[in-house]
Amino acid sequence: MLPDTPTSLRRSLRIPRAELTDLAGIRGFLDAAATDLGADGLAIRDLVIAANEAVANIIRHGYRGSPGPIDVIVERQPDAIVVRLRDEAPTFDPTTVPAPDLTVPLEERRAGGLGVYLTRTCVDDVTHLPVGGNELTLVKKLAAGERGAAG
Amino acid sequence: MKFSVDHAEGSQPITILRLEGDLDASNFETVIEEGTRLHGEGTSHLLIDLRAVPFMGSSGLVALHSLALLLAGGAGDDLASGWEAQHAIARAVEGGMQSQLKVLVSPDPDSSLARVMDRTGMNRFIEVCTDEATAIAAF
Repeated sequence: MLPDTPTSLRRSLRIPRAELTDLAGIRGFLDAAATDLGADGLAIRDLVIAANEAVANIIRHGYRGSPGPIDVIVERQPDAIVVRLRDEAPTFDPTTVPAPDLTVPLEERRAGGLGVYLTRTCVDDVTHLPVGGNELTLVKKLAAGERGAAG
Repeated sequence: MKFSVDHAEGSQPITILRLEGDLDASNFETVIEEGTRLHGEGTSHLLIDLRAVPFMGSSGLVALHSLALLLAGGAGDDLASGWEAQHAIARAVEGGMQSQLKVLVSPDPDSSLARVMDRTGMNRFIEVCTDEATAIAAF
């Protein structure tokens, strides 16, 4: 469930049949929304990198390349920008994907690990909720100068 | 994604593959295809100009890594396995900077491209230059 965030501090985008060719449009939306909500360039770049990887994984692995719905919600919280990605793909928790480790044997390696790795390293927190599909939440904390600057 | 190709003479012939547009999961395979085509035409040293690439995701890393392996005589990456690509990159970093592929980027250290290269350690495997003449001289 989404927390009770005032509409003025939330931007949302629904893509009914998301495909990989929608990635550029989603990045553009994220950039504009995070800017509008008071994030600075560096935080926005990291958020866009993280969310791009997560959305690509939803399309490629969650929906297995077939078009499927994705909701992208950007929220301003007092000290962070939060991106929620909701899909209707089979439940998959990317936070359970182990970090790259050369000691992991070949048969335990999983596709998508590179994107998950980038997602994790570009934001401060990643959480997953199974909500009749998946809700992935990415949290990027804002520098002190950005706090309270929501537009 | 748009491509253009130039040639330069350093200590050996260098092919410059210039990319224009975002490089992501929707189009990275076209970069591999173009690099593979150039390799098939005899390119052994490749400079990939990414200065007109505003955004690059992990798929772009897979493309760069796959072409580096190809130029070094390998078979490229298994494109279905991002995890394996991450491990291969890690092994390549342990193996040191490879010599037949370099990339040219804008000098902004905070660009998304620079951040992706840095966060994955790819810049320890593939030499990243911000000036074309320096890049050509580095081969």
